[in-house]
Amino acid sequence: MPRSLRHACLALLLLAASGCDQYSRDQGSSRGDDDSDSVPQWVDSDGDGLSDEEESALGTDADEVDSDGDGWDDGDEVDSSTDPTDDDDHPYSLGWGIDPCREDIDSTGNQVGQVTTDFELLSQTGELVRLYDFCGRAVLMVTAAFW
Amino acid sequence: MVISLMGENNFSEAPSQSDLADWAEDFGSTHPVLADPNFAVTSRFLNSNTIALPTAHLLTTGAQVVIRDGWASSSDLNGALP
Repeated sequence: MPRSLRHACLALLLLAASGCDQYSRDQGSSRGDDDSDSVPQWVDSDGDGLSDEEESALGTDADEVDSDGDGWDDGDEVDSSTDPTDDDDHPYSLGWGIDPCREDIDSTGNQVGQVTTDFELLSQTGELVRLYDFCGRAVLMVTAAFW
Repeated sequence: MVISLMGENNFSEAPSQSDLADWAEDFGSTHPVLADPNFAVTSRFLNSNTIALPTAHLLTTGAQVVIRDGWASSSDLNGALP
């Protein structure tokens, strides 16, 4: 066999061996794929829509769908801008959306042009409704009485 | 977003949850119907010492007051939308 052909065969053998080694490492990961070295793993152990890494950052339990036990999945709470670690803070049962800006409002007064003060009042569902939860939209408040 | 603030029930008392639920069911309201005992929240927006009902208060984004103790026309509403 010519020397150049032997070198080519050796190179092919080394390349094949390297590929086998890569395959072995992938087999050992939880969700390995061919791009495992460049794409981070996305693992959601409890299936609540948040990765374990996100749950670690949020302080929620990666093995518990509803970390604060308020009846709402952690992922749904994050989508609704509520705190998945606070059982008093959860989405409204009738689906009234909550705006993320609610923690960034600073009241300046109740005159026209000013930022009104917040309130929290009892609703028809028995939940307390907070005005600033709707800070990302226009709000028409109509006052009336039953009589 | 529409919010109803109910100051008193039929007995001039603070509305209970069941009062609010009955009201919402009777009128098919799916928006928040809230108890405002003694019109405490409403009083923030009054232009005088008397309350004429119904009355409306309009906020734009960021809870900024646009109209207080009045009524909102369709152009007011459109102007307040983000």
